[in-house]
Amino acid sequence: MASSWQNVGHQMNAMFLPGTNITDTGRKFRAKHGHDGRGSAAGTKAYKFGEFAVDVLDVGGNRAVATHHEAKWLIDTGTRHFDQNSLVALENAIIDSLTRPGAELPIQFHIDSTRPPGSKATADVVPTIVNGQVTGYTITIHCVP
Amino acid sequence: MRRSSPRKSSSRPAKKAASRPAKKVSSRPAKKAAVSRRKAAPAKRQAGGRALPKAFDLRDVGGKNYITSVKDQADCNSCTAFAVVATIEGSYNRQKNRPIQPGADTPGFSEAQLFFCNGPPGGCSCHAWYPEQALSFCFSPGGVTDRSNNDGTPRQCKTPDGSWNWTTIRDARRLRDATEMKRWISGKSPDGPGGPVIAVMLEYADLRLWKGGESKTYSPAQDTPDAINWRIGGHVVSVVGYDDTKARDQFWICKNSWGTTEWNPAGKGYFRVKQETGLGPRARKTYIDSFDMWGVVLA
Repeated sequence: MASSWQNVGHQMNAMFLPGTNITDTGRKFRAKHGHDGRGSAAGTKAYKFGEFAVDVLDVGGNRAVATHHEAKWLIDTGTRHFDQNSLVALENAIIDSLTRPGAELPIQFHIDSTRPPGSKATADVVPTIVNGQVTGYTITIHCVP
Repeated sequence: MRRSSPRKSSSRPAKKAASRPAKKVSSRPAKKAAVSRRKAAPAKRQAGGRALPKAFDLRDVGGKNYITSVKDQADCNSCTAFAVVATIEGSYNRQKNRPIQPGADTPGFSEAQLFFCNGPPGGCSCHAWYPEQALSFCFSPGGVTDRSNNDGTPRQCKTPDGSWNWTTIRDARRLRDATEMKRWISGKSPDGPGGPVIAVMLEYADLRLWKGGESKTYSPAQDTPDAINWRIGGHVVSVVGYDDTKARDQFWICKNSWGTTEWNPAGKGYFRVKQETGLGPRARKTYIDSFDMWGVVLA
């Protein structure tokens, strides 16, 4: 799974690059998950990390996770495999980033695939704060190789 | 194995293999065995030219049951071992034409020996063990044995002695899609004699709460503004039948390993899972018939 995680990290970094990329990601995100990312608008659903990676396309029209890896990816980002508190923090950061139309916050992802077999994946979510304002996030996902 | 309450988790597919070398799972064509096949419903002609029943249930093939009793993995993440053993037991009966006799429940192979001797590090708290990895240990002695070795110490790998009987498989076939699953289950596959199918499904939190018995078909619920149906991870089941008779309610019949009384009691350990063919674009998928499915051929 290391390669998949690395690929996802690469794709997510591209999606959250400042400029056209993150603007496009934000627009699609709000269309899918509502202005608050919680699925409160009709026809939208609450954002969850794994599903976002599966069914949101980047500016090039590519999925973050290839179709044939969908099931494996969704399994690996379930709560048995991924620490639930980390998932919530990760999701909150992404929602915070992408629910600011025209002012989405860039996020940089790092993949640390050095966890021993059998351990749950976790995420460290670190906001970048400038003059008391959150201007972006750095997210490190720790996972098994 | 007995289950304590509350259940913590069900299973998990895995990525790390076992502690000793395993035989690689083969994909070579399996020799077709002679088994009796009975249709449970009118058949239709499939592309492969072999008639595929509209419905089939290995628990009732012309009144014969080939499926052993439902077991309970308890609070141990060993669903892979339970599904593999259940499938090997059912395949054994089907391929050797030995239906379950009244008052008997044979064969009774040991999930514990397969899991605790060959399974991933971490034992019951492991996070993943995929069927391919478990099956790799079933080609030779050391994988599947009768359960007499489990008396008193059900969660240990025990050292076998010469009195143990070992059952081995000759082939494990990865099935590509729902049609191949149905062919295998109904004994109409050109690639093997048939039997139950091991299938990995994406488990959502609402599966634990399912109470549809065998009269309703499970499909993961959507989130609501007030409740999130969390994705838990992977779960492995033994698929013992299917039903295509209603266009809007086509389902798999799954043998679970969560006991017969606490979870979905009306189903007595069985449940229906919606087939993915024809699912709407917004429907949640379990991937039960598109991700990781296996049939086995007994040696």
